[in-house]
Amino acid sequence: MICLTCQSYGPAAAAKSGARADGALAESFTLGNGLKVIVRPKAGSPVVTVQVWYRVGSYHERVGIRGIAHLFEHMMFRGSEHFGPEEHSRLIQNVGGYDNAFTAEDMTVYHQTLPARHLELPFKLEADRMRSLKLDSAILNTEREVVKEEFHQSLNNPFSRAYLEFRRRLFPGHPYAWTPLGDLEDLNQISVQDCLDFYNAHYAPNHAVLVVSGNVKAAEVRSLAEKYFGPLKPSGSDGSYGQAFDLSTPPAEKRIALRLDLELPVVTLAYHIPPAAHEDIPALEVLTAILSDGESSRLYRSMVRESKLAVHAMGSTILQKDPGLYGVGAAFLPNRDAGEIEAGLRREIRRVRDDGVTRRELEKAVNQALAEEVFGGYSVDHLAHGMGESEILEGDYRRFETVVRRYRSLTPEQIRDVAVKYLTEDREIVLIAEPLQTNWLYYAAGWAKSIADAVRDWAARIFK
Amino acid sequence: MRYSYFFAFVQFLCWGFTVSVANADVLQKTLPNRMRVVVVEDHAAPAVFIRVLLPLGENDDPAGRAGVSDLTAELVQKGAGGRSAAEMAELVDWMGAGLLGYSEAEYTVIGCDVLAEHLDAGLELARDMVTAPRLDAGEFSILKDQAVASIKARRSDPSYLAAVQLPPAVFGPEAPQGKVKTEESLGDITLEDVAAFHRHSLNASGAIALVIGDVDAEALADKLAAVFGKLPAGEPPHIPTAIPANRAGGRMLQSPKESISQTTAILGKPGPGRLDPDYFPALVANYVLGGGGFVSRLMAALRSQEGKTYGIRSSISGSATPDLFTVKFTTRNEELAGSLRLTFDVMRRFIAEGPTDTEVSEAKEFFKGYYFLQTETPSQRASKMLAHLFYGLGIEEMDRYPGRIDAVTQKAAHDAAKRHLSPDGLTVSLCGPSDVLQNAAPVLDGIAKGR
Repeated sequence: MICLTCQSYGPAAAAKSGARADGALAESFTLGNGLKVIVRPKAGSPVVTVQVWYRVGSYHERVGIRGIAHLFEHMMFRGSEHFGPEEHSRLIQNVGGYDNAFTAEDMTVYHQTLPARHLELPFKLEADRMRSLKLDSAILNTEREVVKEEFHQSLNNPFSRAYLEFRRRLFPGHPYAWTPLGDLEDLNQISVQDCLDFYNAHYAPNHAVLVVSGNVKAAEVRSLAEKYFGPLKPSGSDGSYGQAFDLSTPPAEKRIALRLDLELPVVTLAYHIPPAAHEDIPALEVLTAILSDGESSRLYRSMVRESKLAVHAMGSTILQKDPGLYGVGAAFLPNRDAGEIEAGLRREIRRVRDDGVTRRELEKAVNQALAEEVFGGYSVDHLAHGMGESEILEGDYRRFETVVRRYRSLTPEQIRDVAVKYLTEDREIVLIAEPLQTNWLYYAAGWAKSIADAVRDWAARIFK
Repeated sequence: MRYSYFFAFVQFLCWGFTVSVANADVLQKTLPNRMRVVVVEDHAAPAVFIRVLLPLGENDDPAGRAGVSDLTAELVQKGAGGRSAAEMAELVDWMGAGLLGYSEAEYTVIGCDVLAEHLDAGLELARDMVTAPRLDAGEFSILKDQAVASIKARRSDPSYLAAVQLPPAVFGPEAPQGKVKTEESLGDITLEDVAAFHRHSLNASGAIALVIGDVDAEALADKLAAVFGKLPAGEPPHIPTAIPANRAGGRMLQSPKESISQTTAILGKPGPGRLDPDYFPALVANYVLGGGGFVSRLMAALRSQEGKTYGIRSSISGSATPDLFTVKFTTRNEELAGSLRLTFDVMRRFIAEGPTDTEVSEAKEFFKGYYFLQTETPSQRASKMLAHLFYGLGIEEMDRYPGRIDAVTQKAAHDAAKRHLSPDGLTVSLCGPSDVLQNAAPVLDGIAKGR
């Protein structure tokens, strides 16, 4: 068993002064060893959430160790210098808390939410495993099997399988081509030494962000951060990104169609978009809201309520540190033609490019963002997550608190401009996931139902 | 004189009283039609959460037509009062509001989350959804297609395929707990079924209007009384509390799915309901066995020590009507036999030894603390309050909960485990490749015979 000794970093260097924008509710400071701490007090809340966001994900892997970031997320629960295997979870649960972790392309996040009076406990636990994790081949082999189970679980679901394949072909030659699940062959080969190298390079205070939200005071958080994380030594590795994705190159594949063991087909139009911190992202997010948030959105109205082509219509802006993805899609019963769905989605994108959006649609999107801010504000986990994600992806947690302000400053012309710039037909990639076999009986039944629906709608209009 | 007595009686029924629950003042009223009105002021943020509970739920779906309750809860949101579905959607999205409608086992909840500045519009929407839904045929058709699509999507998931065959086998397809939505049951549902379900659900005797948020409690309670005071009184709902016998005890149910590398297993049998005297001891015992995630005995054995599964969890139902106790895991096909043996071994050992004092103590601390997490947001508190009120436990149950957990002893937890969490009589539902399922039959036979 290898014990990564907790290395003391001398006396805690004085924390750098905090930053707090006007009207902002959160504030931040940075310890001498580089750990950034974000505090979002929420008086009256019975709970507190403590999250450690490491600036490492599957992006930082290479062929040969794909999946190590996620595997590592599992290993972090298997004991450190002062706490045994699963003891972290046990201690959090013993006070009524909940803890878990997740790995994404650009981040690995450890989070716990617990009654506010137990604030100190997660500081003690997270600091211990940040620099003194225990690693050995027995633990590695057990967790390897668990991670492979998770991988298989994903492969056995056709929608997850489609997502893995789409990503592989949407980001050729780039680490975003694989997800945190990694690669089965690589997982089988990862050694204890690979894990040690990965841990030493990325698990250090200067590559992490500590986010605390709940019934806490900033001074109290500062004192605990200095006490537990202050002595930890930073890592020499800069943890920087190595590869960039060229947005100006047209996609290599324009159409990716998969036939899978599923019964509900889905068509998506996807477009590469700039990194999360780019100035065009707010306009793209508002466009997503106009196209797909709520039943008054353009896609729901045209694809579901009016034409009845689809049963669900959706839009998403997948933000990443490097270029992300914009997508509009629809799920439809197998009695519809995928070509019609594709044409319907394309028509709505073209309509934005040609005619733009209305001021009312923009105001509605702002209203929705404002309401989401109010409703989301009840949950300390939501607040901490939003700030952590903004800090990692956009480089500034304060962007989470200024979403509404940034949306309000947009004009309908700016929304149209980003559609013209990014959602063009030469950048479009059609993703299709459809069943292995067509059931013609079902198709005929659907056709008959379409006629019945049309007659009923016609009668409703005539006899209104 | 008769008028005076009547007037006094109405006043008594309308009498509102305020209690302090979970550090908040709660105004409660019972209207003359026996509908309960509850308002909780919460000025932490400018938002209001409106909920109306109607006393008819999934367990009341007509025979062979499982899904009526869900479709009704959805359809009332697609056009009500003077607004079409499109007009309603436009208003809701413009306000940044959210409508909700869902059915639980015994009741349906319809509601609306709005910013405080839109309170009147939110109340109007809630009133119209409850009392004047349009039940539009075109929207009904869309919803049915969406419900069918949802089942088609879920059928890609082996966990769903394993889960869906358990209730009808264990309880019988006509029993309240045995009904499961299928494409066939959804296909048979007519708009008349939905209209009838909605009509029957308008029973003030079991209904509750509950609002939490940035409001004036007294003024809002009066408005709610005016809005819902005319619902028909009806009869108080009846909730069955006896645990039914397992109609498929010891049986193996198979859902073959070829070309997958894992098999999902769900072990189940009837368990205690929320009103059972054993509920809290069983809750604590279940946490130790498999409900406690990483700290449970099943997770420790199957995942942490053996790496056989990504996760294993046992659970008991929170509804008052007794429902399934289940243990669920997914494992690679070649590990199925070993995983089943180990699961039964852990369960048998647990029943024989019982939880330790330390385990019981840790479980109790978890539940007492976790209650803060479960009641963090107004929406979460509303769900709990509605359930407590509907089950006749009173809203004060919010404060009594920690005491009920504290009262559980090691002996009570062990006794409850012996009665409800033993591996005897479990039905085993499997989804995986045919050959794997066939090989599982003798394994289960051997387990039953103690081999």
